Amino acid sequence: MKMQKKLLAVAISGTLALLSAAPASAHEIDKLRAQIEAMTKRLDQLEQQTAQAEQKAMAAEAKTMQMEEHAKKQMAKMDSMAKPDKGVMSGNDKVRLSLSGHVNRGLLWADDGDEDNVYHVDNDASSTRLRLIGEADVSNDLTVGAAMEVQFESNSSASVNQLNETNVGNDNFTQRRLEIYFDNKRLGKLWIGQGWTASEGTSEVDLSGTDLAGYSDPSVFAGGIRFRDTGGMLTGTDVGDVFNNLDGLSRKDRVRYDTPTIAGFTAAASLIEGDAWDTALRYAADYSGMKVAGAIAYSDPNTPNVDNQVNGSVSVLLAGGLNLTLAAGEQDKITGADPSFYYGKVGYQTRLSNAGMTAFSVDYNRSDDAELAGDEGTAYGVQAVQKFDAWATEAYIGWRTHELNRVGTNVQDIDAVIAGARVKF
Amino acid sequence: MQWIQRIGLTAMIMLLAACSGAQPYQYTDNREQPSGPGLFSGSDGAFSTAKGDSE
Repeated sequence: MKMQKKLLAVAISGTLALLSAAPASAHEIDKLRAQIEAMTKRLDQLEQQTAQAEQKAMAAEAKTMQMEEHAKKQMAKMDSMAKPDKGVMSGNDKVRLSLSGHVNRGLLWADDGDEDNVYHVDNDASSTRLRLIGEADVSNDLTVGAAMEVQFESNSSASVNQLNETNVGNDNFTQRRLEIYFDNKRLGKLWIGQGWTASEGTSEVDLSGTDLAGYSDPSVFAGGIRFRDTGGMLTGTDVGDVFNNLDGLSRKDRVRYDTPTIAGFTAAASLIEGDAWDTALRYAADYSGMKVAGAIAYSDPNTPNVDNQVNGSVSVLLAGGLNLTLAAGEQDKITGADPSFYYGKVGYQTRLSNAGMTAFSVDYNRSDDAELAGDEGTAYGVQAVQKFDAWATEAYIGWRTHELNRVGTNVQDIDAVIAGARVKF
Repeated sequence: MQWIQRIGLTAMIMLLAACSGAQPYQYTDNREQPSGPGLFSGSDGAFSTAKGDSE
């Protein structure tokens, strides 16, 4: 601004010099002087205004910085409130300890042909449970882990029935997994303790997303409900007696070994308490969005009347959401008829809203000779599961009809509907 | 032993499928341990002393 004033003065002086050289009247010169003074005054005013504006801008900037600083402090305070310092921390970065689980509660309505009732149940398809997992990476290849998982079922959906509507089940935690394992990237995984046998889950591979409301084992939803004969009398046979998906040897005290996964395949074998043993082969692969998973197993339960058991399942989920699940199995008994089953499910997954995935399915189960030779159990149903991603919750509803065709006895069908929600905490 | 034949057929189909260049993935039983975040534990799906994949 000062430079401009100097230039202006030089220009004015030059102009006056030219004017003085030229013939001009004193009146014109006075007029020019007045104009110059007015311009000079205007320049001073502009200079003051500019200085004031600069001061205001600096003040505003300082205020903005103060506000930003305050906001940062508030954010840090909120963050510290949301994520408090962890009370238990390991000094070793290669050690992990995690606590997880879920609660799964629902209502079961069952109609045995003569009477119907509503039961408050814990859905045995995925019982309420708590899990503690500890792992340590003791080397680049080896992870040592320990797992404790317990369940707490009040009125298991697999156990309630016409005679026991409430207070069904143990009023305490029951064991699921109490084991240690050694997981080597090159050599495989060795498990010791109470946990899944190699064949556990091999009849239940299911990619439909509706397994909370129905899968290959009908006995988990209304397993305790007894069939009623056509005369109205309760029989001693319940749904769980008639339907058995022969799903390996369950969870037991055992030593189990899993090979490393090669081309999607993993083999496993376990030696189980009571001189039982089993082996299984699993497969899982993704074909450009189409997922395939399957398993087959051979088991020797070493029980008095069972020689061996073969079972398996496979599930395919197409990229568009259409899915198909099949399962089957047979038990070779030393005497009597050999129980067997087969199962099919067709489903579809889609996203109907922003809440989360919605899955639908229909299924069919046929179980033969499960309790008595000649028994024919048929179950068919419809399932739906809605995920609520923001709540870590799945709401479900499933309906099934259970039919028993038994030589010498006429029983009525059992209809059952289960509806509830599982919240993962 | 029709079951042996059926299981064998399934195994063969799975074996052929494995040879076609598919990408292996870890199948998890949704009923055993659901994947994804937890309502209280957040994105990890578990309260944990350290970040990292369990099991």
